[in-house]
Amino acid sequence: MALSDVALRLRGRAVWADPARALLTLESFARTEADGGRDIASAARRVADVELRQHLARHAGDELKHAELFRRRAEELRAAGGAAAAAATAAGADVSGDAAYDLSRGRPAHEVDAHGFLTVGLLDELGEVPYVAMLHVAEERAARLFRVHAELVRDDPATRRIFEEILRDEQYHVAWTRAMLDRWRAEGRGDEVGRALKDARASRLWGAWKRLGARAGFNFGRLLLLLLYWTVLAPFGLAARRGRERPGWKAPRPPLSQDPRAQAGSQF
Amino acid sequence: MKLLGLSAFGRDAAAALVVDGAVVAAMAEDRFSRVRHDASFPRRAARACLRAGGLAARDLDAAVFHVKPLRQFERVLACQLRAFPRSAGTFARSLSTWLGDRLWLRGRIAADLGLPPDKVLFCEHHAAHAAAAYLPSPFDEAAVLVVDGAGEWAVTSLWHGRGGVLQPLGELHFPHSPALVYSAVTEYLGFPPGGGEQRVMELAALGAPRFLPWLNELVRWEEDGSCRIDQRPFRFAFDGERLFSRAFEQRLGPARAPGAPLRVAGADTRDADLAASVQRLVEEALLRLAATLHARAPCEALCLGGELALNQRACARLLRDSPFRRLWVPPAPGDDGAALGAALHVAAALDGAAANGRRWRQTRAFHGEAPDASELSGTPLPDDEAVLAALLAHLQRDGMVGWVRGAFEWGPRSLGYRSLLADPRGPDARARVNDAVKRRESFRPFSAVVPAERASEYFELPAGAEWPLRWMQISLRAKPRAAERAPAVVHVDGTTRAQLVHAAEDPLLHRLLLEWDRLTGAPVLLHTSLNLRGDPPVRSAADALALWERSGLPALVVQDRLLAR
Repeated sequence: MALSDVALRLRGRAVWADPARALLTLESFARTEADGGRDIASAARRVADVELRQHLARHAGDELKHAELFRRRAEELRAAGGAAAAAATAAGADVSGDAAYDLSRGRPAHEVDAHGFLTVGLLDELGEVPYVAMLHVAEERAARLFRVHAELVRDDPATRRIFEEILRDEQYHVAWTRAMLDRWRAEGRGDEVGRALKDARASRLWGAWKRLGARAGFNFGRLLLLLLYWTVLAPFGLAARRGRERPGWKAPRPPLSQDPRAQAGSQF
Repeated sequence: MKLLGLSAFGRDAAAALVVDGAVVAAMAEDRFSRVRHDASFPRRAARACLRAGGLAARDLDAAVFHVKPLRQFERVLACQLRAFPRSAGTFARSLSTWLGDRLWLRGRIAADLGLPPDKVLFCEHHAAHAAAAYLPSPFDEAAVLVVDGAGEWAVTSLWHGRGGVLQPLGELHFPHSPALVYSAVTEYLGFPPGGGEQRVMELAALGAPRFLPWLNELVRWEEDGSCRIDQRPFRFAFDGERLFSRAFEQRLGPARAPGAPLRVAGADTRDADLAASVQRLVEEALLRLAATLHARAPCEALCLGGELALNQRACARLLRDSPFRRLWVPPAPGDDGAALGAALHVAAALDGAAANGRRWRQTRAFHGEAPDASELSGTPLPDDEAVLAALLAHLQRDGMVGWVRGAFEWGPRSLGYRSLLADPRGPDARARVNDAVKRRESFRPFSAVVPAERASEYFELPAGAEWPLRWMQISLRAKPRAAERAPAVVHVDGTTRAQLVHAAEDPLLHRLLLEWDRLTGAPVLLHTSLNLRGDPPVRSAADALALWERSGLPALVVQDRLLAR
C-alpha cells in the first residue's frame, strides 16, 4: 500500500469516527461534485471534438448525480437528528469536512470558485489537453479516496451503496480520460500530454503542501492566543466585566476629521 | 466620481458601482460563487460590476468598504473581554480571524483590486445602511430607521433625511439588538442565521405566541424607547457561531437540529410557537422604535434599512400601526445593500451630488448581468411574442415554467428575471413546484405576481406602500377571491406576498399575466426564485442549464431560447 493510501485511510478513519465530520464531509462532497459537474458541463459545450464532448457531457451528468446522492444522504442524516446532526450543527466552523477533490492546483483563492473550480471554466484557461490531464489526475485521486471511504463505512450500508455506485462511475472517468490522453499521444502530442500530466500532479502536491502549512500555522496561532487569554488578558477581562457599557440611546460619534476624504479614509 | 462599494465578512457580500452618484451595477457575490449568502470578499461581483461599467479598477476614484474595521475590531475585543471567562472558547477563533485577515483590509482590498491603498475608503456600517435606505428613495424628507445585527457598535440607529442630507439622531449599541435575538431564535429552530430568518417568519403563521411573555422579560424597553437585552440566554455578544446559550435550551428544551422534523403539530408545537413569539417580538420592537423615531423626526415617510427590513410581516405592521404613512424599503436592505449604501454615502460626502439636487432615485431593482444564451441549444424564440406564447403554452401544459432574462435582481427577491412561474389554481400546485424544483419545507408559502391595476381584486392593499409592493417587501391579506382562484399563493394564516407589476415597467410580464387571465379567469401566477434548495437564484445561462439538468423543471426559457422536455 502506498504511503498516500495510508494517509487517506487514516484521514478517512478520523472522518467516519466523528459523526459531525462525517456529515460535513458528505455535504462537502456534494458541493464539490456539483461544482465539478457545472465546470465540466460548461467544458462540454465548448469543445469541438465530438468524442471529447460526449465523454465530458456524460461525466458532467455523473458528477451532478453524485452531488445529488451525497446531498440526499446528508439530508437523511440531518433529518434523522441524533448525535451526527447535533454535533455537526454545534461544531459549526470549527470542524471542516473532507474534500473529494481539490482542483485549485495551489492557485490563489481569488482565481477559483468556492470549491476549487475556476469560475471562468478551466477549459478556457488550460486548453483541452491540460484540462483532460487535470481531470484524469483528479479522478484517479477521487477513485482512490472513494474506495477508502467505501471500505470504512461497512456498518452504514446506505452510505456504502452510494460510494460503490460512485466508484463505478469514477472507473469510467479514469478510463475515458486515459483513453483520450492515449489518443492524443498516438496523434503525436505525447510531449504535450506528458507535460500536462506532470503539471497537474505537481500543482496538486504544491497545493497540498501550502494547505498543510496554512493549517499548522493557524492551529499554532490559536494555541498562542488561548495562552494569551488565560495569562495576559485575564486581569483585563475581569476588569472589563465591571465596566459593561450601559444600554440606552447614544449620541452619534462626532467625525474624526472635518475633511470628508480623511474621514472616509479612516478605518476607525 | 467613480466609486466601488463593497460589503463582506458579515452576511451577503456584494459589490456596487456608483458613477456620479448613480448606480451602474450592483451584484451579490453568492450569484457568482453559488454559495448562498456568501460573505467572502466579493471579488467576482466586483469584477462583474467593473465589467458592466466598462471600467478597469485603475479608473476608480475609490473603493469603499461598508464598515470601519478598526472600530469593529474594538467592539469585538471589548465584547470578548467583557464576556470573560465565557469567551474562552471563542476568543482564539475570533481573534485569529481578525489578526490573520480583517485587520489588514486596506492592503487586501488594494491588492485584490489593483488600487493604491489611499484609494480604499471606509464607511460606518449604519451610515451605509441609512444611505442605502434614504438616498435612492422617492422622498425628499423622511425618517430613517436602521435595525441590524452588528457592524461596529451601532445595532439600531435613527436618522433624519432632508434634501439629500442624512442627519444622525441616535443609536443603540451592541449587543442590545432585537435583530440578534431573532437570529438566535432562528439558529435554535435549526435554520441558518443570516438567511433562515425568512423561514422563521413563515413558520410563525403556524404557531401561537405563547413564549412572548418570556421573550419580553429578556428584551426590556426603557422609557426613552431604548432596549436592554438580558444576555444570559444568549451568546451572540461574543460568539458569532453559536448565538444562544444552554440557558436558552434549559428554558425551551433542546434546539432543533437542522433538517430534523419541526415541532409544529400535536402535543409539541414548540417550534411554531417560538417562531410566532419572536415574530411578534420584533414587530412590536419595530413599532416602538418607529414611535421613538417619529417623535424625533416627525415625517410622513419612513425609510427602513438593515436585516430586519427583510421581514415582510413586520413591514406590513409598521405601515398599519406606526405613525408613518408611507414606507420605503430598498430592494437590498441587508448587508448586500450596504455595499451600495457605502458608495452612495461617500459619493454624497465627497461631491455633494445628493445634497445639490442630483440624487439618484431607484426605480428598478435589476442591476446584475444579463445571461448569454448563445451557448444553449434549444428552440429559438425570435421575438417577445414567441417568448410569451412559449411561457403560456408551458404554464398551461406543464403547470410551471422557468424564466431567465435580462439583468438579474439586486437583493434577495426574484422579481420576474430569474423566476419560476406556476399555475396557482390546483390544490397540489405547491407540491408540484416543490417536487420538480424547489424541495422546500412544506410549511413555506409561495409568492404571487399580479398586474398592479388588478391586485386590489385579490389582495388588501395598504396605502403608502407603492414601492414595497413592487418589490415584494410587505405581506398582504388575501381576499376570498385569491383563496378561491389562486390557493397556492395564500399562506395558512390568510396572508400572501405579492409582486405588483406595472405595464410601463415590465410590459412583457404584465402582458403574460393579462393573457393568463384571459385563459384562466385570474391574472395571478405563483412566483418564486429560480433555484434549487440551498442554492442562490441562477445567474447565468450555465447556471440555468445546470438547474435544468438537476431538476424536474418541465420547461425553461432563457432569453430567446426554450428548453422543454
